[in-house]
Amino acid sequence: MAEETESTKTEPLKTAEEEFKKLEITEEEESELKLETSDHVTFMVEASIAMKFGAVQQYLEVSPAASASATAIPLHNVASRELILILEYYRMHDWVDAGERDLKEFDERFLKDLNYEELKELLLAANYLNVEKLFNFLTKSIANIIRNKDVEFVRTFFGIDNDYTPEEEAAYREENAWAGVKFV
Amino acid sequence: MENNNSAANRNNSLLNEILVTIFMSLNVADIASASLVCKSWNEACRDPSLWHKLDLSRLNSYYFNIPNYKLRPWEDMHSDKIMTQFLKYVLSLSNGNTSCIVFNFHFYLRDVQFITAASRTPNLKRLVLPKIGELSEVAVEKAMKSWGGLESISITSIVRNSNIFSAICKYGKNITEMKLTCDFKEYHADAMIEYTRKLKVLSIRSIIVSMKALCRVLSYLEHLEEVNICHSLILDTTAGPTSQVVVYRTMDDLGKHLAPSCLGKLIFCEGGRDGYGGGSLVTACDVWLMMMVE
Repeated sequence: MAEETESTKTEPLKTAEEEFKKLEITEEEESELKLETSDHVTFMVEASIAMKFGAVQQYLEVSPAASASATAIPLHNVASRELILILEYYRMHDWVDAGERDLKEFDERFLKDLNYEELKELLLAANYLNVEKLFNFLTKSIANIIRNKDVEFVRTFFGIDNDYTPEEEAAYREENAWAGVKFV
Repeated sequence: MENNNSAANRNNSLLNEILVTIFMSLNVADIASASLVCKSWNEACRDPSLWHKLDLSRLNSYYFNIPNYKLRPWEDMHSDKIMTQFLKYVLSLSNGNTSCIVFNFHFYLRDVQFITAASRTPNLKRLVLPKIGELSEVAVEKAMKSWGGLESISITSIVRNSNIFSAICKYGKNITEMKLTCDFKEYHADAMIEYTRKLKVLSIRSIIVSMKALCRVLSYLEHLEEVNICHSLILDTTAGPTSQVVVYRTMDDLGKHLAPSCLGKLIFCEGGRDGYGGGSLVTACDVWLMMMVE
């Protein structure tokens, strides 16, 4: 992951430095931050990306010394599995050469590859990390998928288990007969 | 173990919040559908924040599998039954938290739906009625009794006669805002003066307004602050024995009949303010007049 950044991301790195200055973090010009997930995995993350995480910003405000990469910034509520996904999303969206179509394709695939449990974990992680762009992308996409769809489609799409008893289900369907074929 | 439990609980309540955020951008029919997916979605669908406003204005007949090729897709008995079921279900999700109902303007409202809505929305503050339907006086009275806290109402031609309008006013003592999209007649003014004493804002724009009714509400409703008569045609049909119609075209005309303090409460369009025959007021008036003559 680190290699990929060094070889392909000279341009974003420059902007990262600028952004860094903007944020008035007066430590030496540091292009990477060390993040540690709840399952104790350390990630070296481009500052340009890490600084988009509200939780990281907040941490650095309180203890600016952590921006010197010797100390890792702990992310208590984010596991490595979710952080990898979040970084994948942000690296793609930060990549200057990515065209609109690439991003659209990427976004679609990104969402499609997640099962419901993963999606839930990712939403929680995005919420804790306070990564607005990803969080908004996820919530908006989910809303768009639900819109105008019947219950079975939604269950299948997200892989949600129907935890209603057959009796409960039947009662609900009776109450919702107004929706006609939509729920059948 | 305990730690795990509390973390799981925290995650669950957070997920619930996130689901509510997602559902915020969905319409009522989609939320109803989402509530059937699983128990945790159902719980999120019952969040009060989703139900303060029950906006049916954009729900077309598509959502109910009602064919929309008909001129009035809502009028038949099948649609009637479907709509009652729908209201019952969504208002069960709302759990009494709805303070505003906006009906789809073209939806055909009958007694059964009106009472269904009223009995499940005890905290209603604002109501926008559809244009057509059949409401009986008894049903309106029953509904209005349960809506004691109603503050704002939009009256349409569904309120067909003075009895029904009186029934609304009689139990709508807390109404401070009223909008009429049907003709504003003297019986409206009388019922308002008798019952809805707290009325502050009255919108009677783009309709035919009886001059006498206008004078009465301006004189007798002491809390009245604003009367919107933009684009309205102000007529006095009872001026002479030969059923001569007097049209008030400009603010100057109105000024001859109204005290300056009353005139100050009126909101009117540019054509009226200029004091001469031009602008939208007169244009609208002329159209109305032609319709009247026919």
